[in-house]
Amino acid sequence: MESENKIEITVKIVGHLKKYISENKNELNLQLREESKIIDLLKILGIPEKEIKYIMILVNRQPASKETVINSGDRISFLTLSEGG
Amino acid sequence: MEGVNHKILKVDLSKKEFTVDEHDNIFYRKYIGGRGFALYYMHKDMDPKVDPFSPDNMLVFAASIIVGAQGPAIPRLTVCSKSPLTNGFGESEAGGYWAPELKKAGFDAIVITGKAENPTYLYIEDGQVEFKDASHLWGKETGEVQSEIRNQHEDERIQIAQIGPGGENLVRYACITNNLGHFNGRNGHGAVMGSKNLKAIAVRGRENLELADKDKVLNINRWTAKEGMKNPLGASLHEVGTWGTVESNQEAGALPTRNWNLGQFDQVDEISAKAWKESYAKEGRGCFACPIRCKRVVEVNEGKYQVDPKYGGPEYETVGSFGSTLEIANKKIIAKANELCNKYTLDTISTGMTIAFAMEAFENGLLTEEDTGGIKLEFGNGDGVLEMIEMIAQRKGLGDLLAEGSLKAAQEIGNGALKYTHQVKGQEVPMHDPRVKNGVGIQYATAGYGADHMKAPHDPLYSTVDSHGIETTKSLGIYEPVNPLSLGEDKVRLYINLDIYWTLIDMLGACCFGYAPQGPVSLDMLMDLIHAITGENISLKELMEAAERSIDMARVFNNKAGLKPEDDFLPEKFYENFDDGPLKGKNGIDKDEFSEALKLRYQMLGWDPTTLKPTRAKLVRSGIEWIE
Repeated sequence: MESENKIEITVKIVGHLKKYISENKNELNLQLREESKIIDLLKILGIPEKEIKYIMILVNRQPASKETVINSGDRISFLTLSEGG
Repeated sequence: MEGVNHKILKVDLSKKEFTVDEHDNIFYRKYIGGRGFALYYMHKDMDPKVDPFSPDNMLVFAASIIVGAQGPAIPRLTVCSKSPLTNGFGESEAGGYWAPELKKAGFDAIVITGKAENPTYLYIEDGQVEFKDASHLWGKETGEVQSEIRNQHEDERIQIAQIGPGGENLVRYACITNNLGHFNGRNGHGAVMGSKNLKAIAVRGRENLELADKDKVLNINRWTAKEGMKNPLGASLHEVGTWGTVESNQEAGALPTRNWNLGQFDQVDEISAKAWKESYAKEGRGCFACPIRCKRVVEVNEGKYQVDPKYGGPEYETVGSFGSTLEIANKKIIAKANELCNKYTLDTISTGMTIAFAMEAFENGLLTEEDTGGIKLEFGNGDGVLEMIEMIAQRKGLGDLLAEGSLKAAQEIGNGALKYTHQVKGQEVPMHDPRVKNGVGIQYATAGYGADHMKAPHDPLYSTVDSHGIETTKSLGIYEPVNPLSLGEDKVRLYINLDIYWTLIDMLGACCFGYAPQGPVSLDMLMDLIHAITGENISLKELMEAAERSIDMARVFNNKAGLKPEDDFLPEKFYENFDDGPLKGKNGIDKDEFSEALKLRYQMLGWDPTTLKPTRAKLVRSGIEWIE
């Protein structure tokens, strides 16, 4: 629908999912439809759903899942799981 | 049972004597390896109350039932002793090549007691044991010592576990290195080695282990190298090692910065994986028979801070502890600090964190330039840090106090200095903030060997129904995701399972980067590997019971050593909200909730929550009532 409202968000990718976007653009400013979920965002970015198992999803630095609804101004982080060292 | 020698070497350094214990299959099924072997001997033959630097302290170097076979990611060496940092049961694992070589040399573990009259190294070759004079090696750096021992025996394939000056000078967080780039980092076992006048243990074995089904073992390794590396977690480790965690923790708002006063480092781009890769990184290295090759190597070959690649390179923990924690963005200084710690055998986490403590004490006037010998010990002073590392290793000036660890140093300084320490049981916390993954807080508080990030997988692996952890560890009875910020019953249940499972991974001498839930090799394949190596029908149930048995044994050891329930705590910092950054005003852990979680955990383990004593019934069920 042409008239529907858009929300503006920021996406930060750390780790292996960077391969799905331009290498030097790991922080993206995007517009999404209202009521969009994380799973919708992944589709827009061309990231296959199966990749979810290897990442931590944060919305405004708090834990989230593929069903989390995104609000305007949110910062979404996709971080490849890592620990140890 | 194949894959084992059925022999454990016992060395008395005081008497310059050794004996060999021969064990049957039941022993190996019951104790598996690593801490299992160590706790058996530490309960049987030592008094847990002894001073860690007493000749009566026991120092155990242990492989496992599967280490030494050519499977993926099973190279690890466990070292245990009573820790001079925690005053309780100490344990630390290292990758590398030493433990497989020990197995090929004919032994599954070495149990050391006593104190050598003069500096000594042990030389073990194909079942033969010699006490060698190390007077000419005492005081020397690790690189030099490795070359000299190899030259002396005219054999470049000798594997050497050793200490540098940090261990000799009894720095309470001195580590042990093998092959110069692998470390039994935590708990100060290097200082215990130093207290015994034991400079090194050099091993050489030419006998390949008999395996029940060698082809299957090799096939599992080949699968890991090819198919397994399609797993992004394994591939990512291959690609950037553990450096990826710098940027992840920064983005989460939880990169330890300025002695944990900040959650983000404004110069993070200087110390990210990308920054290292584009500057000083060389080709990565790995461990015995492991295709992942996660170890980073750096070289700086010009200017004031030259860094020799033979000492490897800083991993995430070191980049955190010498970088963001000290507000140092100069990679050359971080790499140099890492190299110095590796030459002198100092644990980089405790060294960085103890200097961070001293910096905050300095900035608040509790330490002065008179104390530091003229060093302006302010955050960001890289040259001051390098100088301080030298002073700690040699126990010179303020270094003598800081060599005691941050807790003891703060107690000595007084005037409220304790609030600048972040430690559990005297061991400084590693570079993971439990305020964004509460299960890590449970690990920090309850690990018998002090704050440690490698006691269990971290919460994000189990955060959603889709998470890799949920997919790969159902056979451990883990079915549902748990919010990383939960401290409820669900989290405690998850962490009992994960704690026992990772204890098992450690006992097996396996590396968490190779196996589920983080690594590419599944639990089923791990069981196939164990069967192919040993030829025994060992079950997952049996293995999990062995791991839990060792957890009970460590607790009983600590109870006897005098550790109390109140020693299971979380540093005050983590009960506070973040002061700054994107999580400002958020995420402080609720103290009461945390306390309830620990209580529930003790009950789940069959321990009295007021004394932490396992019930007699629990010990009987595990067949270890003899340790009571």
